[in-house]
Amino acid sequence: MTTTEAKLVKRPRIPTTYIVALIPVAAALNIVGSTINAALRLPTFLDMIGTAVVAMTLGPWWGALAGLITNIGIAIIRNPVSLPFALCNMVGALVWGYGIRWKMGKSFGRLLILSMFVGFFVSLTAVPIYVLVFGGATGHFGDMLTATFVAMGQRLWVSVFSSNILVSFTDKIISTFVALAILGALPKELTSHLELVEQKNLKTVIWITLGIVVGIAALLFIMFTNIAG
Amino acid sequence: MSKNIIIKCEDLHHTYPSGVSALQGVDLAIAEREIVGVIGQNGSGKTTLVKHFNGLLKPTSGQVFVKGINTREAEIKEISRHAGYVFQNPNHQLFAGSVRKELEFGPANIGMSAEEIEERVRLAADFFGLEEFLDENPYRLSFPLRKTVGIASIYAMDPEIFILDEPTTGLDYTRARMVAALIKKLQDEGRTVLIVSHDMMLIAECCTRVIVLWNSRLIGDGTPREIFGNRELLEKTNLAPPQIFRMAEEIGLQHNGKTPLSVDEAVEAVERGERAG
Amino acid sequence: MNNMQLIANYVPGKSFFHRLHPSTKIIWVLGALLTVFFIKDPLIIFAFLVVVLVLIKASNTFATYRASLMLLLPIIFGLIFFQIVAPAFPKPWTPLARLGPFVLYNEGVYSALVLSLRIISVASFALLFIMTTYPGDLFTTMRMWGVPYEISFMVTTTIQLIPILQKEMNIILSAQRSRAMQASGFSALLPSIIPVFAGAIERVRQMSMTLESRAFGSSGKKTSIRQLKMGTLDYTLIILTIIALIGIFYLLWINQGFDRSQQMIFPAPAAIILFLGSIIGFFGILVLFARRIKN
Ligand SMILES: Nc1ncnc2c1ncn2[C@@H]1O[C@H](COP(=O)(O)OP(=O)(O)O)[C@@H](O)[C@H]1O
Ligand SMILES: [Mg+2]
Repeated sequence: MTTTEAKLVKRPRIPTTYIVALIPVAAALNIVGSTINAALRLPTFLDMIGTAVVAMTLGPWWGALAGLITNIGIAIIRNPVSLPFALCNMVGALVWGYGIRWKMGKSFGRLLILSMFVGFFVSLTAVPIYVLVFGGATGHFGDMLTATFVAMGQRLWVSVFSSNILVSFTDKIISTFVALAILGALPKELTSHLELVEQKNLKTVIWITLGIVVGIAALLFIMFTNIAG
Repeated sequence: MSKNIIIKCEDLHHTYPSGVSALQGVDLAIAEREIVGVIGQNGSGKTTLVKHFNGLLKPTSGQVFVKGINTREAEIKEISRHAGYVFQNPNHQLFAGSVRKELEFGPANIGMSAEEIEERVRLAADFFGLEEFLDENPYRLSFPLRKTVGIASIYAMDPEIFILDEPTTGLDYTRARMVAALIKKLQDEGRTVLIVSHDMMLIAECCTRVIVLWNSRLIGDGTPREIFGNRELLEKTNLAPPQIFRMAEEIGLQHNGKTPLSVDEAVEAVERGERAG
Repeated sequence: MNNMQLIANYVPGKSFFHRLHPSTKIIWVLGALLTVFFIKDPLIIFAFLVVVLVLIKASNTFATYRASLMLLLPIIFGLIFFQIVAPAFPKPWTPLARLGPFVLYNEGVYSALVLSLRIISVASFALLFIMTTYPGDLFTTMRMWGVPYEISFMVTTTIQLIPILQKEMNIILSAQRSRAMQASGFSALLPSIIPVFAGAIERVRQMSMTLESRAFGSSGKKTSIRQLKMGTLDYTLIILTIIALIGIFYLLWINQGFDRSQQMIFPAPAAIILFLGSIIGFFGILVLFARRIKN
């Protein structure tokens, strides 16, 4: 317990028992998030929202723990093959957590940039796993995009990274703003120390995301066509 | 009372995927403007029955018609414009950043115009005394207030049929009184109301008709007086009539020639000194 | 920990694998993982997979295994597709056929076989371990290995919460549909997800108070109810495993992982069939999953 308590000194308002209870809830919500995602047939994953909430309220390392616990849970109840992706979940937590600490949540624009950073670093961790372990496949519709890039003559890891970053940006921008909406529904004592922008209309966020992702996709296509040609 | 049938079940059966047979052949017709209490022990099928009335559940055999629409052939979205269902636990539906947005959600979904929405929100907030909380996050309100917001969010959709599942559970006395007042108001507005409840005082006070479920079947249907006066039926279903009704029966107190159902009626009866034969 | 059996992949039983100590099984899984990731001969990996399948059959866990493995199929089909056209080998590659913009390579078919067999066999072995290990024993073992009690407590709680929250989610979806919410799409996202979170957070407060009243974390060593002992068999097996691993790695080292990518030549039609099959399989499985979600 000594290490746990040492870390806690920074946030004396939140009792250890509360943290020990909040982390499994966040981990379970990560898993239920992907069920909701499937039920509503969304093109995202929404499997890190619990992590985002913990990273923002309790800090980056508690968020990382929530991410780790999530993947251990998935390994036990579904399939142990997903265990390496614990790393992505933890990296996402660190970026969210430190980002919020470094005042990246203060305005809508900053939060948008922070969520793209999360997307970028999560992709950076995920792509080597996808390429080295899974031969470049993710098992989602994003694979069609990867195939398109490969057909355009790109190398596999470039193709996987390009399609993954598009998927990742979409997912992490939306997850960040969903997490923001959730923070609004949390007890005040959990969120009062945070400097956060007002909750944003999700419709606006989705349009902006669409703009960003389509823009990057167009850029990639132009780049790849020129390189190939 | 007009005799326009607004809800009709024909040989309604419902079996859950788990294999539990929760309704076994219910025939029922509810007329416009009726205030119907649904009573029965836990697990007797009350919730299952009323969930058929806005299309949340579809019959596994038999038919249900709501305003003439066969619920098998319509989406919940279409039926919920006619039949509003208030869930027991408000935490299962509140999501918006403010009470105002929460109240706007349902009306916007059924395609009301901006002016209509504003008017409905104003009416709902006014009736439920929520004006001062309109800009608060619903999750930062007390539980009874949250439950009130949940009911108000359905009221804002202006449904002709109002379904309340355990509306007074978890509410303090004052808020529970507000639910009774709401039902009276819905009645005055000419709506049809179904109330699933264990709160016999509420049922006795508000309902024009009571139906009794037991073991997935409908075994009683009548006025509150008929049902609460039927010892055999109540014993079988392990239900107790409201205290005031029992007391009045014991001492033979009468109000306009009938056993009083509410405290008000009993008080009047005592003042008039009216007694049975 | 009782209701955990219902959702975890654990299949109760008394087979040889069930009776081994979790530590032994963990060492086996890690050993298999390391070995399989360095072997480059698809036939050896295939032989290993056959052994694992026999073990699964012998521990009466085949039905659960099949259901879990299904989840891996889309990724396997994707993998075969990508590897055939972009092998995980240094160039030059030997072309076998051309289909539209894609060139199919001999090294590609080879690495598709190696990588997919690798994933399937490691996943199968790990599943065998999960299916034959009572989750409570797993946590006891984790603590034996020095993982803090708090961690295993959190993992246990997570696993117990999942079915509870999933049930909540279904109620919430119907509550919102009663308010005429769209059945799918982003407009339904916040109305569905916020109540699940907010409800769960209320649970946290209660859980936290319960933990507080049990003086969570203040007492010393936690004792578990079920006794877990390493038997002679377990010690023997662990020692044998370590010796075997040393031998295997020596062989792998001197044979350079049995890389036979230059010797194995696949006929072009086989490559084409495998390639087209992976495309059909990928979409077929996704459509199947989408259907299942709808129902
Ligand atoms: N979603 C469900 N899945 C399976 N069985 C259910 C479900 N909901 C209710 N039941 C079962 O159906 C029966 C009737 O339940 P319900 O209609 O909720 O009763 P009541 O509202 O009168 O307490 C009970 O035996 C209950 O266990
Ligand atoms: Mg009920």
